[in-house]
Amino acid sequence: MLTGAMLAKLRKALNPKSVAIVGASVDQVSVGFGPVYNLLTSSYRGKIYPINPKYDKVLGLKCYPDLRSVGISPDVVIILLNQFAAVDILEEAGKIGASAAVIVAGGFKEVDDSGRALEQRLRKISENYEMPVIGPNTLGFSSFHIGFHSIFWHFDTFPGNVAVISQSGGVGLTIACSLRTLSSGLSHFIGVGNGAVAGFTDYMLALDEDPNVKVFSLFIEGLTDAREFYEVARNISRKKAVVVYKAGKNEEVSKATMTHTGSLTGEYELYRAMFKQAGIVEVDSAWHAAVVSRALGMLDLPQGNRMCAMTFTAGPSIVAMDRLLDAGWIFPDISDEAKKKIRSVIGEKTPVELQNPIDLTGPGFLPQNYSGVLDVLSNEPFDAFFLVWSFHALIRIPIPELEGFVKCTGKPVVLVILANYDEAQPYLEELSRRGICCYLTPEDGAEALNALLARYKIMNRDGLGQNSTPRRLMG
Amino acid sequence: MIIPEHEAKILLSDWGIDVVPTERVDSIMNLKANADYFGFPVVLKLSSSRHSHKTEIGGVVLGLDSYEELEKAYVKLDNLKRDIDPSASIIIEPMIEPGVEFFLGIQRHENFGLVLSFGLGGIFLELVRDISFRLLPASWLDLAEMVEELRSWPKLKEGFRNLPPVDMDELLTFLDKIGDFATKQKGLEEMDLNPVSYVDGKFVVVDARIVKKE
Repeated sequence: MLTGAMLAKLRKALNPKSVAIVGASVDQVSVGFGPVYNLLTSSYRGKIYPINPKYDKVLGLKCYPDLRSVGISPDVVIILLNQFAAVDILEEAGKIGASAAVIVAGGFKEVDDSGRALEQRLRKISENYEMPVIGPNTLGFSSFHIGFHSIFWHFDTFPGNVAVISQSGGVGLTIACSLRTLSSGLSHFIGVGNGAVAGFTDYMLALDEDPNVKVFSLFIEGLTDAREFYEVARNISRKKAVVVYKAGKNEEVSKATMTHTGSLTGEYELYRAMFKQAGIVEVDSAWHAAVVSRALGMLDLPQGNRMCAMTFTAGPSIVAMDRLLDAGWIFPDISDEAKKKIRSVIGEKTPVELQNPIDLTGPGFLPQNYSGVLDVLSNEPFDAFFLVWSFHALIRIPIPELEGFVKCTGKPVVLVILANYDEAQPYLEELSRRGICCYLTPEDGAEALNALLARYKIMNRDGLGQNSTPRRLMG
Repeated sequence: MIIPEHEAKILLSDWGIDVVPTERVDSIMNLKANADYFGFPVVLKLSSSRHSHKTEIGGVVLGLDSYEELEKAYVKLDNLKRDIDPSASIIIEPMIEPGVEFFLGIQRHENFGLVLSFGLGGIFLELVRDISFRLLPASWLDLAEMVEELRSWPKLKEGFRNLPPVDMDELLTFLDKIGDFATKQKGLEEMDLNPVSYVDGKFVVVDARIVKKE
């Protein structure tokens, strides 16, 4: 874990006012091109210093021959050179008083003994100058709320409230792309890489007061200090949601993980227990991480477990119920008065028994009926709503009415639209803009709501169990 | 360093944890007096700081019902002791009535720190492997969630077949005490309590193995 002084520097680096890019290049397929290009095409307002003795200018910016000639101490130095040169430049960055550095190159502990020795040297330099290092073996990081889009790879996202912190650039990008598909943005993207100096705990601590971060979405291959992670995550999860996707669940994968980042993957059962004890929401795929992170970032938590489901086609609510019931949601019946009102909306003759889940059948797909029933339900004592809409190109999705319902209940509402992505896409964007959390499958909708309930339980953890005999806490 | 079973039980007992009473025996006379005190049937065990898996080496003789059986077992263990660990002790314990048997383990893991494992014990430990884990120290609620993770818990709490229902509060009190013991013992590396028997509404440690740092 970083010292207090280094953590302060990391915080500064994640919100930098100046950046030096060593190895900046005008060659489009070089890693030296991406960071300058991405920064120039996003809304970053800080100072950018490309560094490369080969050029006078890079993409119109003045290019410097070396770090020293920049004449200031940048908040972050991004080093895009090979591993050997990178470590030499790190020493220079320390000398000019840079706050932090990113080393993109691989070729350290994940490779061989000489790589391990090189990583040791990197760590020593970082320690000497009290200068945190991000990476090595990483895509780098981006802070989207200040337009600091500095990773070298293509990345389509927009400012949001989910911070993706990933030990693998590829999986991290998969989670980020999935969030984008779901119309959710990011606050930060951080590639932990080998985590030679700064690790998951440091990044979470550096961002734990950041009002732009509501959810930490982590991809973990293995931790070298699980105990430290546990202690930090347990405190952080009381303030912000922590979602974890853990790789290496069986031995085969554990070996792959070892060659990948050079860290031994521990026993999965212990990880699972630790996540649960730390108040972490565990997920089992990159998509699932995105589904859950979106809901946690977008919706308020329920204040209980009473769920109301409404649909006009039964099956989707049944498969969702399977999952919702497992997670601890209950489906109390609707009041007789509400049933009477619903009847008056959908017609006395509709051959259906009204219960929860409410299946409106045929009349339900008329927008005025759908929203009429929503009006009735908003007065019923539920803690969350699961709504299904089956898309039809000729029938309007009652979007304004749904928005009204969401705003007036103040409770978490998940909408599932049964449609193919291409047809639904324009509506998904609009729904998202209007604060309606929408998914395309009942399973995703259910998992989203389950994460909210899990989070509600975590937040109320200390209060739970007080009905049984009060006990002292251990330790 | 392996703490011999009878000493491990003293450590636990001093912490307020129920253990099956144990006496060291060093002669046939002493043996009979203890058997009279406990009442038949009794168990004889070799309690050694070199061999902690005593069943595998033949260091446990169960269900002794008479002086004659007892003497025979004593001679057998005395010979075994001479062969494998002259510094070991022979201990005598009453056989306790069969109850629900649990396994409880403590491990100082290099990555996770102190870890508590708990599950179905005795022969079922390896057969069904119904175990859950928590990092120590653990709160009362952590422990409750740990118990509820066991696949067999819904049946155990209702009383499976002819077994008595297991009381959650009693179980949590026991786990809490063990966790407290483990976090406060200096140099504790490993502890296996297997089985821990649930008899007459109480959890009793039948067999204990403790390993401390040298």
